[in-house]
Amino acid sequence: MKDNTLLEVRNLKQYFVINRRLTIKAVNDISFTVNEGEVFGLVGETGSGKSTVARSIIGVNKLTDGEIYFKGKLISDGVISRQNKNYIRKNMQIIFQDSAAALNPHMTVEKIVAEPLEINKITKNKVELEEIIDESLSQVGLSGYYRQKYPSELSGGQRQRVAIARSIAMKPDLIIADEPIASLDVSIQAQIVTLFQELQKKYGFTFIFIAHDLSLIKYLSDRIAVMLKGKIVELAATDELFLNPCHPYTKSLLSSIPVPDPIFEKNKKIIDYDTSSFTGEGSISEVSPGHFLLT
Amino acid sequence: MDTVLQLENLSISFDTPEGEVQAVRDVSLTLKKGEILSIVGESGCGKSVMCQSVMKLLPKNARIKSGRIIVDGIDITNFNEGKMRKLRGSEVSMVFQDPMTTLNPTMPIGDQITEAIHMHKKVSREVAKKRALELLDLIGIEDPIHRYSLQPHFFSGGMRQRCVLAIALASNPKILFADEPTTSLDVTVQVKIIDLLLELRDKLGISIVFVSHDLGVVARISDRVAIMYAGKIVEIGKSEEMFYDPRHPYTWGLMQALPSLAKEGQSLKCIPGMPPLMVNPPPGDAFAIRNEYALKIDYEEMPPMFQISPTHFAATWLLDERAPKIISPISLKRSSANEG
Repeated sequence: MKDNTLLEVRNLKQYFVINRRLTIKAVNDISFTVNEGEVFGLVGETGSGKSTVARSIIGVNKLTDGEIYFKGKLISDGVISRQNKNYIRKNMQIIFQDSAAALNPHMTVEKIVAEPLEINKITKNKVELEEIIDESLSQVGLSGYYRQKYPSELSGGQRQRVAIARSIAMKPDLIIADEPIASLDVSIQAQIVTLFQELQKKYGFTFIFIAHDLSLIKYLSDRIAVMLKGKIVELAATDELFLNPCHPYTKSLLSSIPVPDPIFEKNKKIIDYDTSSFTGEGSISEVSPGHFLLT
Repeated sequence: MDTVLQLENLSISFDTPEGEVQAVRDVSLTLKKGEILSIVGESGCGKSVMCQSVMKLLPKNARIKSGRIIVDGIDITNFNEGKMRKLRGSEVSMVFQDPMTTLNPTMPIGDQITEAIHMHKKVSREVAKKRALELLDLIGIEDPIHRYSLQPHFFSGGMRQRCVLAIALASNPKILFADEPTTSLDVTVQVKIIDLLLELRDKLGISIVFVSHDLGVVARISDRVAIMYAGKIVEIGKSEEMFYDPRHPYTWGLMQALPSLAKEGQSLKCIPGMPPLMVNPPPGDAFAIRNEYALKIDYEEMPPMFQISPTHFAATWLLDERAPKIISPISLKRSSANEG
C-alpha cells in the first residue's frame, strides 16, 4: 500500500438474498483505492450498485465478502470496526441525495449540526460547540439567521447546505457524497458544486462523489470509476478516461452526455451498447499506467 | 407552416392564503406545426403552470387572469371541463416526469393504451388492440404482442416512459406537452427517448412543447428555445440563436453554471441568490437583484421584448440603444461543433 492511500476497497462483494432462488449481486467483486485529498468519481446507471458501494464503505451493510481498509485499518471486520467505532464515525461522513429525508424535520438547523458533535463528544463545552456550529454554517454560506429554522422552512439548496455543514463540522477525512445535487436546479447546482470545490481546497477533504451526471463528474473528479451491474468496468484518471475510453459501455456513456451546443448535438452519433449482453465476467487489467479495464 | 398553438398575453394567478401568486405573467408565444419548442427555467418559474393551463389541468385555486389560449384556431380560454375532455388527447396531450405515477400499476400496458383509444373513438375491441400494438411498435417496444399484457412493473424506466408516450399519442394529438420527460432516466436512456421524440415529430408531424432544465438535452431536441424567469419569457429564439448568441443576462447565467461549458481549471460561475417569490413580484425586471449587469431602470420599469432578429427576442434593458454595450460572457462559437 502506498503512503497516501486513504481508503482501500478489496474484492468487495455485496449480495442481497431475496429468497432461496433469488440473490441480487448488487456489488460483485470490485476493488479500488482512494488517495488522500483526491476527488474520486463513481458513475453508473440506476441499479449499477454505486450507492451500495457507498453504504458498504460507511458500514450500513454487512459485507458479503471482501475487505475495506480506512487509513490502513481493516474497518470491514466486525471486531476492529467496533473497537474503532468512534474513530470511523468521526472521520467518514456521507451526504445523501434527498436532503429532505436526511434531515430530521423536528430539529432546528442548529440542532442538526450539533447532533453529531454531541454524540461523538467532540466538543468540550458549549462555547466550543457554538463556535463550530457558527463556523460550519458560515462555511456553507448560511448566516446565523438560519440557525433557528426547521428543514421545512428551507429551500432544497439550503437544506443541502445544512447537510454539508453537518458533515464538515466533524472535520472528517473522507466525505462520501451520493448524488448530492441531483434534485437541485441548475443555478443552485452550480452553487453547491462551487461550495464543494472551495471546501476541498480549504480543508483538503477526500471526496467520493457519486453521480450519474457525467459532465459534473468530469468537472469535479481527479479519477473516475465507471460501474455497470455491480462491476467496475473501467477506472482511470479523468482526462485519460474522457480522451481514451476503452470499454464499450464507457464509450456509450460518454457519447450520451448531452452537450449544450445545438449543431454539435444534432449531428452527434450515439454509440449504443446493449447492457443486457454484459455478463460481468472477465478480470481487471491495467491497459496503461493507472487505467484499468475489465476485459 | 401553420400555427397550432397561440398564447396571447396569458397571465395566470393562484389565490393562496399568502396572497395572489403570479405564476405566469403576460406570456405570448406561438407554436408551428411540427415544431419542437423547449421551455427552460428553474423550478417555480411557471413553465409547468403554462403547460397545464393549455391542458386545463390547473388546480382549483388557479385562474386565468387575462389573455387567450388558441389551439388550432379555436379559442379554448373559457372551455369547460366537458369540452376539454374532448380536446385532451385528440388535440393536446401531456407526458409527465415520472412514468410510474402516470401508469396504473395494476393494469396491463395494452389495456391502458386501448382505454385511451376508447375514450375518443367508438371502435371495436379488436380495432383498438390493433391500434395499440401499432403504437407500441411505433414507440420502439420490441415484441409488442407479448408485452401487451404485462403490467408496468415488468418494464424498465425508459420503457415505461415509452408506454406513457404511446398512451399520449393514442388519439393522434396535434400538440404534445412533455414536462421533463427524461429527468428521471439514465443518460443512455435519456438520449434514446429524445431521439424517439424527434422521430415521432418527423413521422407524425406532431408539435412538441418540451419542458426541461437541462440545456444539453434542449440543444439536441429543440427548433426553438424559450427561457422563462419569474413567470415571464425573458428570451426566445431559434436554438442556434439562443446557444451561440444569447442576449439575456439570465440566459448567460444559466450557461455559465454548466460544468460542461466551464473552461479547464476555472470555477463555475453561479447566479447569486434565489428566484423571487411571486406573491409580490418586484417592480421592474424580476431578475435585476441577481443580475450583475443590472441597470438603474431595471429596478423601476419592466423591460419590453426587444427584437434582435425576426425570430429572436429578449426582454432586457441591455438591448436598449441607450444602454452600455456589454459583451456576452458566453464564448460558445459555432466552430466548437467540430470539437470532440
